[in-house]
Amino acid sequence: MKEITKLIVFVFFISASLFGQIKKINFTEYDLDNGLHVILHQDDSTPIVAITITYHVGSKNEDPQRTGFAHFFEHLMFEGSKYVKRGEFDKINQSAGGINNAYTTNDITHYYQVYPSNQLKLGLWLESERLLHLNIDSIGVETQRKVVKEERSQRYDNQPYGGLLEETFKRAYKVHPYKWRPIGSAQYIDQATLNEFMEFHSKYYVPNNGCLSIAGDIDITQTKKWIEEYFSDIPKGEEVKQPEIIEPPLNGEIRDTVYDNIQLPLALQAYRIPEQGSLDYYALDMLSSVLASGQSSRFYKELVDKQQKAVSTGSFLFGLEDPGLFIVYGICNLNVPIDELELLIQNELDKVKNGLIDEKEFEKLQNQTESAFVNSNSTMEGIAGSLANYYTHYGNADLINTEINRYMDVTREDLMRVAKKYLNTDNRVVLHYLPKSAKK
Amino acid sequence: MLERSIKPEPQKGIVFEIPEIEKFELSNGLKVFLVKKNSLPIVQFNYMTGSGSKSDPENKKGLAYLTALLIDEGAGNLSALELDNEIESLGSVLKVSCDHDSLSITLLTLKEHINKSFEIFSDIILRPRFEQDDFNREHKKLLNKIIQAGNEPSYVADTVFEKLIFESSNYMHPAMGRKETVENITNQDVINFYKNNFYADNSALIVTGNITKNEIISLTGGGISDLKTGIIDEPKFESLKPGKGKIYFVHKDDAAQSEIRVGHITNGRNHPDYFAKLLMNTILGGQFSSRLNSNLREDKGFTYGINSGFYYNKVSGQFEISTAVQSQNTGAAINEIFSEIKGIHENIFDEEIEFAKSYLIKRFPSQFETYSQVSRQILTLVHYNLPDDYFNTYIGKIEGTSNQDIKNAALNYINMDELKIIVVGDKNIVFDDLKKFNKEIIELDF
Repeated sequence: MKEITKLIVFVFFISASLFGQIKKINFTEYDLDNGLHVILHQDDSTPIVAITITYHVGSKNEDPQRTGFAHFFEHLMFEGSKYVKRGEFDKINQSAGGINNAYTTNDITHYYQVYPSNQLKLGLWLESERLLHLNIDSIGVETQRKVVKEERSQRYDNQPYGGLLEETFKRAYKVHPYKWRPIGSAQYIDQATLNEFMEFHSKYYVPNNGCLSIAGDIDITQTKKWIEEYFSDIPKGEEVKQPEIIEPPLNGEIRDTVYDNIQLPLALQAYRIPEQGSLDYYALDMLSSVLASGQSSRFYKELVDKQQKAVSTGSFLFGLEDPGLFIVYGICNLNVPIDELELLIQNELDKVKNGLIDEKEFEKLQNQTESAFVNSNSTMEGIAGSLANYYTHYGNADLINTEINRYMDVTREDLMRVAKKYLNTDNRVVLHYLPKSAKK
Repeated sequence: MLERSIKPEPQKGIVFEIPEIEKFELSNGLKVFLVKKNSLPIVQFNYMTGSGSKSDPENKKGLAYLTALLIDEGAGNLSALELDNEIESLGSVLKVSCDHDSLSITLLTLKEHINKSFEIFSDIILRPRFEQDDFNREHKKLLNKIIQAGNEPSYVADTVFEKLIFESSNYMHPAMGRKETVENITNQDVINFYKNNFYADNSALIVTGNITKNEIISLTGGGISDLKTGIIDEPKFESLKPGKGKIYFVHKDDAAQSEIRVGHITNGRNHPDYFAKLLMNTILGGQFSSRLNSNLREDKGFTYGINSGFYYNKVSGQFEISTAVQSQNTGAAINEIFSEIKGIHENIFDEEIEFAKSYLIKRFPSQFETYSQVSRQILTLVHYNLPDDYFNTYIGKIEGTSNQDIKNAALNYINMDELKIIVVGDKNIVFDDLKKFNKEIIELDF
């Protein structure tokens, strides 16, 4: 991410989460001649507009000797272009009442700007400028090199358990580029050169590798006209090929210990799972909710509430374009041995492998899934972003309306089946995070 | 042919209507603020009581926070787990939060489940169970949370900063309390805190969504309208005088960065100079293109980000600059912070003021996009007791602030000699650098 927002003193006021639109999201989509995919959604409930663009490039497209490159490049996209001087991008955006930011994942890089709706044309100009005319120079590269390293320090190295995902992924993959995280390593951030950035821009930042998605208080006809003006003469690039690296099965448990500046040990298990969008993926996503979503989840009830062996528990599902990971973890209550907590986690996994969840719990799960699904569409920025990402990952933007059906097709039997199929010892990495003081 | 060198101008002006706030009282005097928003079939309720950790007894800091953790752990006929299960089965979302000045409970529900959801919400406010088993569990959780937070350099820096800024007042203590004060708390203390602080007179209910005044009155009848009335004693806040600025240092083994806080106490939210301070701070450190961020991030590359702000509690406030920098650059970063403060005292350019005004005015409508945002805006009104027409006059107030007022705000509300500097980092790398500032350095344990 380019910037983080400060959590102010009254941090709790910010936390209310939301339901979103339950109504259908209507949209128009088409391609420009140069291959740029365009998606437009009109909604006039607030006079604002969100302009987003997703490029199909992430850390999996990186050279193993240049990890963190795609994210580093993301920072350079704010450094100015032919007609936007260095430092002006944010000034122009903000003085028009805009906000902007970006993020880089394993698979994509996503940029957004949100404005009062009468500034749509301004946003299109800025977005097209940095696609067509990005200025990459040594001042920008050298400054952002330092900033990105501080980002790494602040968000990962100086945070308790901050290296958790990095430590997990590097053990869970041997050949696939998912073995490194998008932030990359400080060493390779240091080595990236100006020329490499220029080549990266001309290879991946081309209209045929992007999806421009706009949502808000817009006039569709007028918007199409402006998009034509600002984007249609940007030259098409060569076709972008995604890496076709197939990670072999783990074939045996990997077990390791990591020492960190922490006091309460953390036990983690990470299982290999199929790529996002597959039937089993949706079942695993729901299974992850059964285990660890909310205070009525199984982990919470058993480990935190009843047995009080954990202070917190959780699960992440890394749905990625190539096979991802299903991660479960617990943080030990004071003086609870880590092996004891791991055993309890294992017990909960064994329960979902060996028995169907009851119908009432399943009904709750479906309700929760439905709420979570509509949650994601509560803002214009969220809608525009989802449309772009659904298109980029699946070639199907209408999943914003229909993906819920894939979840609702999952049965109780599916949950047990995927638990049996994937949550196995020889398909996992087990990490024990321990305090540095425990290192002998 | 498109001329790309020309920055596009905005199209016609936009039409934005500030949501109308309907105010009324329930039979027990509880104030209700309703904003109708009909685009979605949902309703958000936010119950706020004006007591928070500032009301914690002396040796039991953390009591309000623990009460917040416990209040939804079982209520009415439902045990803790039954309550969570009910709420999650309805697809509703419940959150409880606590800070120095308030404890608030938020419910988000689909309109179709409003009766059942609201019944549980009312039970939480009126009939929390506070059972001993639940207390034992949450008490232990809080103690562990305090241990965990102690490992976060940013939490340590924030907590030390507040302690030094608000020394000897109730605001000096972290809302979570400290290990030794939380250990003193009993379940009876929690029950007493609840009894002494949940009154209609010091509470408010904020409602956003697809609902009418009559529906609220009928929902609350026999429920929240039964909340007892009575006056509670506000804790006294002695007005503090900032002392001479010093450097305070907390050592962290192997810290990857130094967390830096610089600031001092200031006056409260309701002061007439609020807008002048807001505009001045927007230029100094309130947004991405600010002087501080442009210098320390975009020019020097010392940090991922730096910002400044005036942050307010109910009766006072603080000016605070906050950042995390590479350990080796700690001294240099503090130097640059000083030079930016000196700079803003010396001059503020007209185009910067124009930018700050444009930034704040044009982004105003986007603060009302979601139900949560609207609710949060109303909460601010209630919390700081701002006038009813606050939002309607907001833009005018910003436009009407003179350049001289903004320049004076820098001189009057940022005092170089009184700035307290907190550094949390690796002593072996940082300490020699700090000695060069010719200020007293006080080492603290956390």
